Amino acid sequence: MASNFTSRFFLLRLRAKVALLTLLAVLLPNQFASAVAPQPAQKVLFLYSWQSVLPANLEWDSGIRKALESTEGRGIEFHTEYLDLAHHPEGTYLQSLLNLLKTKYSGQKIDLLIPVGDLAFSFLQAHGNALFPGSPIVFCAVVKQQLEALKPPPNSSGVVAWVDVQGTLAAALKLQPKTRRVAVVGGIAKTDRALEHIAREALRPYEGQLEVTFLTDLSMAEVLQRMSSLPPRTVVIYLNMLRDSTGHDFVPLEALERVAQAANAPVYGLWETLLGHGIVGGHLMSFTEQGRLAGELGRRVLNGAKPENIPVIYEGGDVYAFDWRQLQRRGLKESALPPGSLVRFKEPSLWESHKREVIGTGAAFSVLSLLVVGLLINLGRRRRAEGSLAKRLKFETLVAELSGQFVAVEAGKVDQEIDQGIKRLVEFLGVDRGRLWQLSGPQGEFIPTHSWAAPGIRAISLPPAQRFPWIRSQMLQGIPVTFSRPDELPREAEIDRQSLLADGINSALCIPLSVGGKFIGALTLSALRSLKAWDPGLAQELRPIGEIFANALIRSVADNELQQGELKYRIVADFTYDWEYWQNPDGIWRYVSPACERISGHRPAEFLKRPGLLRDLIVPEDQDRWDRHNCVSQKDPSGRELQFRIRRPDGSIRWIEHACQPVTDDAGKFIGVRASNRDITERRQAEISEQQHREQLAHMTRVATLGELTASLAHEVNQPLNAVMNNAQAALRFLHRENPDMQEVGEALGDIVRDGKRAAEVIQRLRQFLRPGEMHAQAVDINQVIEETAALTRNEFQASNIRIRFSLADNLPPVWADGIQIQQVVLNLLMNAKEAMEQAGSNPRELLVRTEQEDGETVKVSFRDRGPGMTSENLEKIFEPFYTTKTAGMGLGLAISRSIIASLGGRVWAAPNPDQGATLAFALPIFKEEHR
Amino acid sequence: MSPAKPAVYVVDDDPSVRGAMKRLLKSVGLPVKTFASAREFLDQATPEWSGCLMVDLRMPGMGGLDLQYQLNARQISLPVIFLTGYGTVPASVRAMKAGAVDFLEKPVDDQTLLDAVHKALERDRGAKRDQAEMQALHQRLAALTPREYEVLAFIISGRLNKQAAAALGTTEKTIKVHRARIMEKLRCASLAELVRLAEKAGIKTLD
Repeated sequence: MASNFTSRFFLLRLRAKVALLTLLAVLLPNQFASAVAPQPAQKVLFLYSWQSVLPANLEWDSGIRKALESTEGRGIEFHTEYLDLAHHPEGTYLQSLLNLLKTKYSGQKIDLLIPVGDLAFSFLQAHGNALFPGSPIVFCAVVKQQLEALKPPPNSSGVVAWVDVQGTLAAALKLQPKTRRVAVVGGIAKTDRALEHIAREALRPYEGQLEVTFLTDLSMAEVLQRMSSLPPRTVVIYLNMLRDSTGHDFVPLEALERVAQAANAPVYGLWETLLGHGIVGGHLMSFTEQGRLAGELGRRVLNGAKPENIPVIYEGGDVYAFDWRQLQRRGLKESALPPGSLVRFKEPSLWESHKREVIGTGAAFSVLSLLVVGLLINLGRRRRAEGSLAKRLKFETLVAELSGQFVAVEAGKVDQEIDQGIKRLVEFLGVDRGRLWQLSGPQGEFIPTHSWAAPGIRAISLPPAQRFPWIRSQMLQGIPVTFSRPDELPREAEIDRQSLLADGINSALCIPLSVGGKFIGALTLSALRSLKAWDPGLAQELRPIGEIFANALIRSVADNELQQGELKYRIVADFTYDWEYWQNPDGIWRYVSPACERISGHRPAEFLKRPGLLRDLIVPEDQDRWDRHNCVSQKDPSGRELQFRIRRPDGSIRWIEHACQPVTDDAGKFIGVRASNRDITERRQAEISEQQHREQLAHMTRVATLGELTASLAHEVNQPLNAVMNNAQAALRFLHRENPDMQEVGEALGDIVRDGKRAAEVIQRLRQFLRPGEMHAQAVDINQVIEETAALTRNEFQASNIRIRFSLADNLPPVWADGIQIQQVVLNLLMNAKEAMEQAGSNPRELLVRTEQEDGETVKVSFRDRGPGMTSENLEKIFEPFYTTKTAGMGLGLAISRSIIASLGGRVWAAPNPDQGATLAFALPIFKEEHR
Repeated sequence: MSPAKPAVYVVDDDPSVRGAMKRLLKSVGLPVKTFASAREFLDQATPEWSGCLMVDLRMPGMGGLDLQYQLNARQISLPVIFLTGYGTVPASVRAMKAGAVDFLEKPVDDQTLLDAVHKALERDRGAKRDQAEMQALHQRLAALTPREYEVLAFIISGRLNKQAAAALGTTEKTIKVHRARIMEKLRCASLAELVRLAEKAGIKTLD
């Protein structure tokens, strides 16, 4: 009952709600409609790097908007942020900026982000994901170098700002061929610095030809002062000046106006916006055009294209443009401008400026004739316009088709496609021959790589290095060359003219090509059978096509290089003298170099078949070490080394020096071991014979040293012998008494046994010491060696009245050494100290023998004497063979000591003491398990 | 140790050698005292000690030769037997000049060693005896009056009583009395005996 009531009540409430919604829908038709519309307006956010007042911003803005607004259907909502990062790169400003943007845009879906300039782009790089997750990016005016350094995010594409310092300089040099100096003006803001960097790179090739000065760390006042006193034959390139060295901020245009006003030489620039503010001109970046290109890309993104599928536009929106007034002011000839240059702010000609007066005074002319003339002009104009429009369309189509073709072309077919492209271009332009030249070789020669010629025309001629020096130099400066007749070439092009005549070339169009700002070659089109009149600006228009070819060429070279590279590494690996291999974690061999056969007697195929073959080849004694090595080597990224022996099928033993390293993929995953095996059998044999020599020599010097020690040694043996004899004789007497004292006899016999052992030990030590045997490194207690050796020489030191003090470290780890050889070293150093003190007649005569652990790796043993000390000259020489300051001895003791210690991986050195005498010391590696 | 009882003093830094030496000397019934260093011995020795000293030529710190020098300086007259493992001529010459009894090379035959010890002990005994005699002599000489001492010089110089009386400004008779008293005090029975005694005591004759 209760539940029934509840459900009825619920129904009623539901009905009421539906009614309310319907009412709302009627009252608010628009909102309702937009709520159900499938596509709301798309949101585009502009992020400018700088403050809002920059004139360039407006140009970009208009370019981008124009292109974007042509997007069909959906409306676009524009948002703009001026990040002003050049003036405030970090700190609290950045934090507030982030907060502001978060507040403004969180929860909003931005459909397209357009960062303008490097700083906005890198800002997005760092914070874009947090602020605008998932929003695609189309950047504009990001400098190429910056783009490369930033490694753009995957969902981005855009337009690179091509700051063509070289193009501008080339234009300036064309206008002022006698130029000797270039002054480059810039500032210290981040953007200024980036431009300075680009300019420095770009001007490097001119070093030696031109004297380049950077005025980038000066105050505005200093810059202006310098501008007013520039030496003759100088051109100024104005980069940008947002901030001068005193920290004063400028709008770059205003800064330019002041610089240009002060300059006693022409000022050239890099941006179109600068035109009209004091620059003569240059190869200028057009912000509007750049904006348009970026807008086009943006449109594609808004229409659903993925940015990662849209190639970045590297060069575009640039133009050779000049200010007519500046040309006049600086006395520069318009005729010397690069072909296709735009000349702005040209003052109207006499006719233009005095049109009204002319018309007024020319009233005598009949209106009719005027009309006729006017109509004729109009008609001609229209025809020309129509013709050029059609031609233009065809041209655009050609460009589009060629670009399309090359985007998809396979690496192997690039050459063929370039040939085809040249053919189409040649046919389109109605010329006879087209060629692509590549700049290569150390002398920068132009090598023809692709060519197409009309039937009956010779396709290839000689490289133009010597035959066309002038054209070549123009190309190298990035200046296109066009002529309808060879006569049109300037006087300095005489050689070129002769070559052209010899080749039968009438007209030609030569376009320098660059890819990514790097000059790589040229495209030439020539007419042999007719004279060709070129449209002005054609060279400029053909540039994109040439660069399509150039890009393709570069790609084919790169592809080829990649293939060549693989081949190269394969050859390197296959022909390497050592036995190289790469083994998967599961033990399967991925690669075994053919040298394995020479070394192991087994062919690579045998290894590939049998994963365990290498281990099986290793002699049984070394297999344990190999297994232990394998365990650790896979984890040690620094690589490991091991020496082992293998038995070849013919039974012979080879020594292998093995070095390996774990290989990991980009994600750090272990994907195998790369190793190199070197046959060191001969080296080992040489080492062994060297070691034998060293051992022989060491033995000789041991014998010699012991010769010097005869007295001490005799004493060491005599003492216990003496005791033995006395005890034995005493025992006999006790025994032969009438009442034999058996207790005394027993005690005497006990002492005899003890002293007999003692004597035997001395003899044993001597025998070991004198044994000419080979070296056996093992764990050695260095303190014990010192004590035993000191015992041998004790008498010697007593005789010389020298006290030996020992400071032997407790818990000293064992060292990796041969006990006998170390004893020899200790003996040599003891004797050296003794003799030094004897000679000097030192007082007090004291030798301090100290052992200590140096670090985790070595144990140090030092002998500090109070002898005469040594000069720096002695210090160097004492370890040399046959060097001795003593009257007796061969001078071999210390040399042998050094060679012994060195062979054990230790070191020996000597140093004067601050007070008196010298310290000789050696350090030996601590014994480690892996030594076994 | 009582000074009256002669002993063999052994100084050697090597405990084995020291122990064996002690046992050997004990086996022939000689009293032995051992010291581990020259310093230890010097700290205890007095001029009254008798017997002999057996010392190793080379020891840490003070060696045998230095010890011998020190003993001479302290007028401790013990005959010294040097032992050495490897004798050197200069060292032995020095030792002998300084009054060493023997210079033995280790290992030494027991008989040689014991002979050397006995010889040394004998020498010490003789020396000690001479020393005692001299002491008695000096006591006797001390009993003479100054006048008698003057007369003694005339007597041992072979002068007649008359000559002595003239020289000393007295009578012959008085000289005779002095002479009798001297003979009595020095317990000499004859002139020859007196002369020998005076010579031993180092009394100078006239001339």
